[in-house]
Amino acid sequence: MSKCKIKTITNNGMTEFLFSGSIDETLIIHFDLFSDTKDVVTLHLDEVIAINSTGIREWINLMTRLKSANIRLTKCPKVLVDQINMVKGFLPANAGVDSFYVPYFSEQSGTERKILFERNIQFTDKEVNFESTIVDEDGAVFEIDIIPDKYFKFIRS
Amino acid sequence: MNFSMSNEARQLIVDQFLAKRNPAFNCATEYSEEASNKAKMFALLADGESPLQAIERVASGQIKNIVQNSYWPMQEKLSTLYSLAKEPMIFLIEDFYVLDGAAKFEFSFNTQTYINRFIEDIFSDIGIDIGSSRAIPVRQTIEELVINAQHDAPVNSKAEPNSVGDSILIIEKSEKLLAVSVIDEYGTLSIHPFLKKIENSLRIGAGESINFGQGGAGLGGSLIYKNTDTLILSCKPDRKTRVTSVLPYNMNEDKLSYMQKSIFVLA
Repeated sequence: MSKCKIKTITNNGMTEFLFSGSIDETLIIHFDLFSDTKDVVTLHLDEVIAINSTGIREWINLMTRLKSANIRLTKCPKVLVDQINMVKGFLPANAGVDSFYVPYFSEQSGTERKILFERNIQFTDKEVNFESTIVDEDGAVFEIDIIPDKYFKFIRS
Repeated sequence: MNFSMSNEARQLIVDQFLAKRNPAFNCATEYSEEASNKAKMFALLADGESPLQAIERVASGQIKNIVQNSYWPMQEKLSTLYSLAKEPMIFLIEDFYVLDGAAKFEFSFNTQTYINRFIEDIFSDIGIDIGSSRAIPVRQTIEELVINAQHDAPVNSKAEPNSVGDSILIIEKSEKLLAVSVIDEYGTLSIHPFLKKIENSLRIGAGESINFGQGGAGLGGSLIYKNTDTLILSCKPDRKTRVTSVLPYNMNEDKLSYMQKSIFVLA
């Protein structure tokens, strides 16, 4: 049984892919959904909860399979942003990130907020504009819970 | 946050343990090839060694154990190492616990265990929010240790599948640290090659090493090591393997970046 589910959706006549669950070696079961193309291939990733070492390997194989496409990643959770920064080939030259999540944490309440950073709003190809702290509707202060130089490395490189 | 410990402070700790006059516990604060040739150094009490430097030393067989001060304080981890120096194989027994005074949780699993639900149950039992970003290192470490026992360990086993009992996952939880241990009954871990793969992955980059083929690229081991304060490994060939990762939890990345690595090889 595949722990990673992929749903195809149609958006303005283009097929896009919604990933959910845990990316592991069973990602390979879904490879038939993808064939190399010169078109834009959009992967929506906010429902991905985890990726393990075998999943990283199959993800890179998937990226190789789509070597001619213009791959757009949207709503990347932190667990995938970490791999983008750590593993060469996870985000190949023909891929880009259009949005990703940044965690903010409140030591006072012990809770977290995941803020969506979007291309041309919080970041561009070369720079990121971020707040070190945010305040929620109840006045709780949340601090950015990543090391900016490390987390935003894929944008600046 | 600074875990740096001066040579003098480390020497004081070394002297305390050397005073116990256990010939198996040959430790020092500096590595010397000459001394190591006479009596293999059991433990190097180091400071400021990078994750790559630390694993290089142990993977090469230069020293057996490297101990650095970190979230698991040097004094405490050296006490654990000292007790293991007298009887290393005691580490393979599931009743051997690494962290003093920690709450203990035990789970069994086998090659058929559905890992996602297994991990959800674990997080529920140990009281950590699996959905939080701060839980990612803990989840990764648990998952990769379980994968090793579920998939990698049985591959080279000479045992018949149904003659091998379930593997055990033990979690010890103290105020700031978890000790995650997996014990399997395959006994197929080749410790130094395993460490060498992690070293290669660190040296040339995880993406480059990913096609190193059969037996894995060291990517799983790298993920474990990245999150770990202290890695403890032991294997009785064809009988048992135990790998323990001691790691801090519920901590932000800035604090995690100060971690100094320690590695114990008990074999």
